[in-house]
Amino acid sequence: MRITSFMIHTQQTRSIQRTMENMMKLGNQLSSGKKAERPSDDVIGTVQAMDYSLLINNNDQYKRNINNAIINLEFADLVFSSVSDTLSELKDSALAGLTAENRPDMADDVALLRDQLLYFGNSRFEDRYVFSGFRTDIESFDPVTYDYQGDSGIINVQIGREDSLPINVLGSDAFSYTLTEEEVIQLDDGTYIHYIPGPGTTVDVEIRDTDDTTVLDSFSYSNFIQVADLLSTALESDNVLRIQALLKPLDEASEKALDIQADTGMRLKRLDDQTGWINENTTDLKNLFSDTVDADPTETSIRILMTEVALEALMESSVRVTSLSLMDFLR
Amino acid sequence: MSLFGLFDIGKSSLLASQTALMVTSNNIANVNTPGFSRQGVILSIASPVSGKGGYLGTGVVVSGTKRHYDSFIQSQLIGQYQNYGRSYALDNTFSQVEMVFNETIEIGLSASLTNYFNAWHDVAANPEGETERTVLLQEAEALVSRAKSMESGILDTLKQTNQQIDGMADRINSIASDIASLNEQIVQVETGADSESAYALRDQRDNLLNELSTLVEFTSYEDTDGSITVMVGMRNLVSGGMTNSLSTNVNEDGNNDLYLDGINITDRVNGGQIGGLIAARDDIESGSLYDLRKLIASVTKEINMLHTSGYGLDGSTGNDFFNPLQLVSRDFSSGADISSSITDLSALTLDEYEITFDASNNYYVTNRQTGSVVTSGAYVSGNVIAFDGIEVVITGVVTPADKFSVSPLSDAIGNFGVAITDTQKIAAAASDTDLPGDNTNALNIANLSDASIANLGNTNFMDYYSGLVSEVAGMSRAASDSLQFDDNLLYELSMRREAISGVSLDEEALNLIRFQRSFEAGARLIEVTDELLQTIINL
Repeated sequence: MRITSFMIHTQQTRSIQRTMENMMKLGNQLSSGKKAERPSDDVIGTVQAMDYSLLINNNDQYKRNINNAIINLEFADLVFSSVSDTLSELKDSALAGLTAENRPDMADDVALLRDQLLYFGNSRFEDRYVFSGFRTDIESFDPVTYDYQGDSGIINVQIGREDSLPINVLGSDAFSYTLTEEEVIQLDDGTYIHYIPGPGTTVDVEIRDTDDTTVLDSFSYSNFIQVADLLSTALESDNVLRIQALLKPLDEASEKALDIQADTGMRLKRLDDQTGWINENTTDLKNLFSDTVDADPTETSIRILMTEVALEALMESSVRVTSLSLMDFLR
Repeated sequence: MSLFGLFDIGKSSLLASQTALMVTSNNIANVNTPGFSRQGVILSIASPVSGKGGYLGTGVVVSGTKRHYDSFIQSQLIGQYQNYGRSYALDNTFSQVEMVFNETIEIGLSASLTNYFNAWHDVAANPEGETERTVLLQEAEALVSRAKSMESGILDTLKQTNQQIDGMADRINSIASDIASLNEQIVQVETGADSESAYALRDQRDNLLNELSTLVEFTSYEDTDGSITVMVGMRNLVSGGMTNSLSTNVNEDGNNDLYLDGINITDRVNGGQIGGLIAARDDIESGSLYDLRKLIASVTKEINMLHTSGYGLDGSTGNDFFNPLQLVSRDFSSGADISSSITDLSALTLDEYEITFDASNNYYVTNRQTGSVVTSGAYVSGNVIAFDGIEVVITGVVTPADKFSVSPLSDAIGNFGVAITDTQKIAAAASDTDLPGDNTNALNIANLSDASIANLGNTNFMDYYSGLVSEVAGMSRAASDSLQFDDNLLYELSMRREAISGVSLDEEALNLIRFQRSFEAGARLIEVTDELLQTIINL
């Protein structure tokens, strides 16, 4: 092949140009710390990186949701440990009331405990009545009748791709009774007490004479606060039978409060596990993301050095080749 | 032959060397002239005369000059310039569009799309919260503005593409008229001459043809008189000294079509930069732009469907979160008008439709994406034509040449906007009796981000968008790879052309010495002859 000056020139220009391009790409990698400047530099990598960053982002969102859930549940947990304390004080008062002489005097103390329960039932957290279901804008329990006013709305949050968890505790459940069938107890004096399931969470109580038919007294309640209120009035009116009848619901209330605490505890544990999993997963994803996206600075630097050497050699040889000309030897 | 014959031989040697030196100098002078083909002298033996010792030579004559040129390589070069031009335009255009989707530096939709759905999660976590609701509206606005700026990025590229086509058509016309005038000059110079003797003019014309071929695909042939005919899209652009003007006309889609000699040749031009620009324009319109609009239309549709079913804090329901989707119907008829509306959002396919008519006054509604006829029937002016959640009413007289198009996508981004301004109207609740703590609807909307969407081929929003990014990046990558390939091929071919036609300074230096020496020798010959004559005179 004939070699002409233009060919040598073009070939050298192209080689230098290519090496410079390479150099610039490496320089960009070093300064941005990223392998690709634009999606077409690494099509699959870009899409993978998008996927990873979406998953990381989702995990961050789940973590925010979880933190929010933890705060709510911890609050409910705190309330119920106080509810438990109050309930055991009520139980003590009731037991004391069975034998005490000055029952009406105790009534006021019990009324205070009732108000305390009402206060707990109507707990507010960040301006929401936490035990009202979806009706977070109204008091969970009526301050006069102590009836539940909320609804049965369960507030779920997403804590994983396919995982959601309720973050609220319903007042209608947590403060109330679930009686599925009639229960009967006989007192030492032969009196029968019937606990009959009524509508909703209502429990109708009938105190019957030894013949188990004559109804001596009847009343009903549907939640702890109403039981506390009934105890207060029973003490006030020296009604020992009623006090005896209320011992069972008080026991059940304590159990219920413990159940609720156990349940929130379980949920908190679940959230804790989920947080751990999400953190691990996020770390993995971040590593994958970094592997896909980030340029290794050491490697890049070495490659820059190599390119520099190549460029120097290229320039040196270019100068040598172009400076050779027969014209120089003409006299 | 007399002694004076020696003078003549010496003279012929001097003249031949001088001519050769001139050709050599011209070669040296044009070493850097693009498109220059080196020349050489053709020396031949002067006709001998018969003398006493038989036939005797009478020196040397320059019978002509020669242009070192290979027309086969030249035609290959032209073909390759066309490929290169196309690849160049594709690479250029696609890499511009790619920058709109540059997810490597987090320009693009993915962040704003994720943030938007995360904001719904936050609303779900605290449905009464004013802050969360305000943030949601801000994220929605961010999504809207991101989508709009992406669309305008693509539209700008398309606009530039059309402008470039227009500018190139002008350049092509000016090249064409230059070629035509060169044609005339070449014919003049070469009339009566043996063969292609108008070297400089031919080199100039080749240069112009090279430039023309980077711009547009053409075929050409040379007539016997030396003029060249250039055809673009099977129409003559240049024929002898005549040219036809290449012009652009805006078509019904708002794009520039190419017309040569009054005929639309847009579809026949594949190569050259213009061919690349046309191809890129079509790919972008039916690819990235279409897909982006479809994604946004789908987001609007799905979010609005859920949002209208929910309840705001103020108990209101039926509110659209984003501006409702609008149909754009276009009228390509003279005697009829069209109006269209969406009747059932859930039935909408987000495809585009075309309504055509036959000679027996029947209408056909064709889905442009699937190509299938979705409904047809006898046309009655003013009757409702209903299909896929859309109702269309056409009034007036139609002819088989008439055409209407209905698209839920054309304006999907243009009209994209947050319809909710009052945070109270954000429908986080699924029922108005469960306010304000009900987060069911907010949770449903937040979970849309993972839901597979039928209109998007059962992928979710983010996967569809990733697909779009990889498609755009893949196209840009393919274009840059083929540009690289075409560039290398072009380089190889130009090197082959150079090997034949290029000037080598070393070679010319050798020629310089060679002809200098022969010139000196010729002069010496004359001197010797002179001495011989002196000798005779002095006898």
